Amino acid sequence: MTARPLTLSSSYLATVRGTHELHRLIAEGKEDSPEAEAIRDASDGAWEALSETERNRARWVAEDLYSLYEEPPAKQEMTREAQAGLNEAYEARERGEWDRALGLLRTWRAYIDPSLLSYLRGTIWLEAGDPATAALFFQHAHRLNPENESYRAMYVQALNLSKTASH
Amino acid sequence: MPRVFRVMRKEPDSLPTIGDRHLGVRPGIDVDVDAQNNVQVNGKGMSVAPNWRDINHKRIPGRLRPILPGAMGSNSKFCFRYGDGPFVQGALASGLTLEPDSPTHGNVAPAQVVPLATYQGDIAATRSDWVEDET
Repeated sequence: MTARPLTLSSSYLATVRGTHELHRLIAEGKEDSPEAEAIRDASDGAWEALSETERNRARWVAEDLYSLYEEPPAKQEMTREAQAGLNEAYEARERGEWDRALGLLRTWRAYIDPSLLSYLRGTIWLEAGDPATAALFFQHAHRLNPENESYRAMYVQALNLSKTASH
Repeated sequence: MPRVFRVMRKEPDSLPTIGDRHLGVRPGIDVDVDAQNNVQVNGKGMSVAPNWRDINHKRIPGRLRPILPGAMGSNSKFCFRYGDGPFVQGALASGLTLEPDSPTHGNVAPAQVVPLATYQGDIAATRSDWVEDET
């Protein structure tokens, strides 16, 4: 199977753009602010237009984005089962099974470094067709591990692509 | 009467706060009001859902993330339930009808053209029948 980007509807992209903004406010402790309420108000219409698949995807993106500013789960020693799960995530990504790859990363996230987790999430979203979400994850990976040149390069690439996509 | 859910603030008596962002409507946004300040009957009204899980995840309190991943709403709000019947068009309470516009969303609308204050009063009169339900 050839990996293909997702078909992301305008309503889905509007929902996720609101999610990015709302996460920024929540991270700043402004979850109850008028700006946060304005984002919630503005997002209702797009939410109603989403399919159930898109709603699930939007919820999971929102959940994964909490990792940008919350404490990661306690690191676990790698096990054979976890390694198999992570291999499965890589394979799912190669096949373009984006939601499945993200789900597997979620399941086994405690077994990998948070910077690598964000990097992998970024690669998935970049290939799945959402460079703005990818940029947030790459930026996080770069912040956690500024020595890694790949993280920085991918962040810049995703950022540029997201700017191009929004024009 | 239909079972509906809505996210709202609550008062010390554990019942929803009456207000345009809680148990109430935003005139001109949630409902259309004419020059005489009458609410139009056009399907618009107070937004509700057949289950709190159907509501925009940005409104579901963040504390419910273990049940609904991605919840991003304010933790000062709560999911309330009203009624116990199927989510179909029909009478909801005195002066109010449920007008579903999809299987996962509907509006609590005026049953007929009434002054805005009457409609708001009809909504407020349901207050004691809302129950917090985040299960």
